[in-house]
Amino acid sequence: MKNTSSKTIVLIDDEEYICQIVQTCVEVFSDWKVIAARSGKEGLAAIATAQPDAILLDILMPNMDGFAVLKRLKASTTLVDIPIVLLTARADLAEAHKIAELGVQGIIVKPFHPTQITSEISQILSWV
Amino acid sequence: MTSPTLDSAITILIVDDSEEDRVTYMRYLKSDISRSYHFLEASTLEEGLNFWRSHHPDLVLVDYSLPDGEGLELLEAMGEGVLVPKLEAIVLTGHYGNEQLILQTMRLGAADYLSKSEVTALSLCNRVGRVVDHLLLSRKLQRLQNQEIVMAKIALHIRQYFDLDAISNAIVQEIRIFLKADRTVIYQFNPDMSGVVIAESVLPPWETCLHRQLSDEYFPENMGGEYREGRVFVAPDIYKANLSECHVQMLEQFPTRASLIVPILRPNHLDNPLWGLLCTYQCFEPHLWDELDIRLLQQLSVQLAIALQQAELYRNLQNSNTDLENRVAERTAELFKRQQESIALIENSPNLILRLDRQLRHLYINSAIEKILGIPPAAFIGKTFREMGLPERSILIAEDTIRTLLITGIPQQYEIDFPLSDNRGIAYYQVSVIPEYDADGEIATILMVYADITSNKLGEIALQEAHRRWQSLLDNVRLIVISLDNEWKVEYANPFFLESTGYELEEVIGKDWLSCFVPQTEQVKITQDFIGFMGNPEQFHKYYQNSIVTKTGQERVVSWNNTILRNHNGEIIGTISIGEDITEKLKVERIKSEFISIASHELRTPLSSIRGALGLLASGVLANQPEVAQHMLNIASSDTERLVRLVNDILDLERLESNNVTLNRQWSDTSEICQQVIETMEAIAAESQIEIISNVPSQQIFADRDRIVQTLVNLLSNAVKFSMPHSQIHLEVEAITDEIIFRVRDHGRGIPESNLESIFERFNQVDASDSRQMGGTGLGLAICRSIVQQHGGKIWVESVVNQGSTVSFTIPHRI
Repeated sequence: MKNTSSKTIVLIDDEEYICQIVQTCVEVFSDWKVIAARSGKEGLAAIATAQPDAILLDILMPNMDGFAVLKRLKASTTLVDIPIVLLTARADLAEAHKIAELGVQGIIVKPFHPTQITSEISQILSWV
Repeated sequence: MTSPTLDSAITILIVDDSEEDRVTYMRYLKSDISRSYHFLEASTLEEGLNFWRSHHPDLVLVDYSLPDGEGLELLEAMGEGVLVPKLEAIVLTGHYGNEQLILQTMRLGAADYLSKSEVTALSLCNRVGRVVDHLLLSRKLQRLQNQEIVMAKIALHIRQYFDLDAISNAIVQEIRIFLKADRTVIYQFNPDMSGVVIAESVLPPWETCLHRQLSDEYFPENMGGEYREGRVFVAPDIYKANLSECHVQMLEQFPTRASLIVPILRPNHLDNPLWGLLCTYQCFEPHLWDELDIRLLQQLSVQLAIALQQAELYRNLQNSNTDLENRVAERTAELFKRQQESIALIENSPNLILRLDRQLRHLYINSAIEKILGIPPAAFIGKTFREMGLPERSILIAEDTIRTLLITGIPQQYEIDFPLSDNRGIAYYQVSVIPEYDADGEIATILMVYADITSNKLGEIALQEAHRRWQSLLDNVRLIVISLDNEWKVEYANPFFLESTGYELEEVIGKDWLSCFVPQTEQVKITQDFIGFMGNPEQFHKYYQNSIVTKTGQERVVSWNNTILRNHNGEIIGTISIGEDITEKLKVERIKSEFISIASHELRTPLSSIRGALGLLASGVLANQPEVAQHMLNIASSDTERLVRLVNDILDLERLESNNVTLNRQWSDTSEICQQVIETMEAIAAESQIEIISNVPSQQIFADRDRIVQTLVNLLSNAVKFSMPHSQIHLEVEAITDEIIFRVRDHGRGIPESNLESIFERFNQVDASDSRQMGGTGLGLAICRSIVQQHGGKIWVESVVNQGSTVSFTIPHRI
């Protein structure tokens, strides 16, 4: 079922294929717009520009990893309130207290289910 | 109670046929007021004789001429000795001056002769008075003599007898007879003033009162007090002596009419000198006690007191003697018993006990020898060890020891073993050799005691063996063993500890464990964890993990298994800990854990792509978008390949690092190996417009050819990936003394110096995205390093950023 409310999401992941699949999934199952960035640096620029409704953030990335991105976002007065969902293979971060510690709204662990990723994001961010 | 001077009246028998004369004489004599006379009158000879016999008059006044005979016949009758031997008689006659008559009268023993014509009141009184005085004096002398005799007899008794009963019985007997009393007793007081009759002499028909008890009420304090002061109780007639009713009743018990009682005092007993009473009784009629009797009794009481003392001393002596004899008898019996016990003990002792003379001949040997050697003791007597054919070794050591003993006089001790009879095995003995001296102080005999210490010895041997085994185990075990005392000082450290830490033994023993061998950062925690365990062993940590510091300051993590050591009383004396150095194990575990974590990520990434792509396709949402669908299929296919490579590399590395791969070593030519590598990589390099230039001499190498090819392909593959098009890659081989060096040199972007080591770690490329972008798995260099290390070689990289890198590895000619 297609989610009709329009949202903009910035996806930050160094894996090209992951970016393409997530983009395809979101576009197929919702009318959200996905802006993909292949590094932390690129992602921060996209966020600043697009002011997205949410951020999908990978953790293990070269040079600037997801933690560094999070730190920057939390330090930014304009970006600090944008909800963040981690999209990572780090299954160990899925514990509630770690999610709270990181200051993110939720986590989707790789490998994710392509047909359910939008509903999972909606559920985490309470998007009706 | 009084002691009056008693003076009895003189009884005078007047025998005269003239009543007038008799009356005259009596009148005359009564005129002498200084004397008191009783008179008996007889008018005939016969009557006079009867009175003499029946009344025992003290004095006779007899007329010479009597109607029935001469007065001299009375003298003759008196003088016959059957009556009274003394003739206290005065003959009166009318024949004045008849000398014959006077002579005859005197011969017959008359005391005096008086002519009737001369009789006047004065003459008669004088003559009679003189005779009476003589009579009384004689009697007194006689009495004194008798008393002397009695005293002598009693003294003799006292000397003859030491037994108080015998003395007492003799005294009462002599006194009663001497005093002509009916009863004489000795009465002994108890401390409470009651008492008992302990000796008695009594005439029949009076009943005995021997052993009769009298209660203390009869001797009230005042009376007892008077006796204590030596006063005498004299009662000629108890009914006229003004005695208390109680006193009379007491005296009647014996019974008595006249009593004479003197105290028996012991002068050396000042606190209570009154020992008892010496009592003489006339039972039937009153009796006037003579002063001499009283004195006699007093003297006898003194003698009795002496006898008492003597008897007491004698009794004490007897008691002492008896006691001494008893003790001697007891001691003798005890000694005999002990001797018997000692003999029984020696005979039944499991120890072998023997005595030798100076020529080493057996004087005695107990029966233990029969149990040990099966030879009866009697067979040894008079024989030497040698003559008995004992084992030579035991003879030599015994002779040697005895020789030393005879020279030094000092008891010796040694241990010996010899076989038991009937193949019962070996017995171990501790032999004590003891000198025995004669009266001159010379060693006369030698005592030897063989104490069986077999069980101790076997235990000791077993203990030594167990100790040796444990020591061997502790010395050789590849684990750390440390023993600490109660103050955490090192008591023992095994060689592996010294080997692991680099310390010398003397740098460890006695040192404080915490401050010397535990990192400062852990000391507080260990102290807290182990504090108080000495008082409460339940708090003791059996398993514990902490670091120790080696001599070079390195920290090694040790997993301990701790045990509390206790002494035989159960008191804690320290700890012993066996520890495993788990430093490397922890490192491996950490690396493995990290590897799994990273591998998991590396596996999940392509898996995400594959799942995502196939999931979208399977959902059918791309049915109207065939291009997108195809792209998804390509993604799935590509990442499936990547996943396969990754899994293969992980497994390959795991096998290499866990030594599960056996290298297939063989002699190969380096040029052939490199040729194969170039052929493999040529097409790929050409695709990237890169040229591979090789300069490989022909060298024989003993190695797993396929693994060397795999390594070189990997290195060339990396070089190709990171080289710019139109650049060159060099493959070079150099043979030096002990090894062959392979080099792959590129002119790529180079590696920062800080990453030169870590690039050989798993998933640790300079840039992780590189591997994915370049189609690598991030494990290639780790695999290369493992292969090289398996061959005994080493691998390293030299690089200058933006100029290129050279990866080199060595393979020893032979390992």
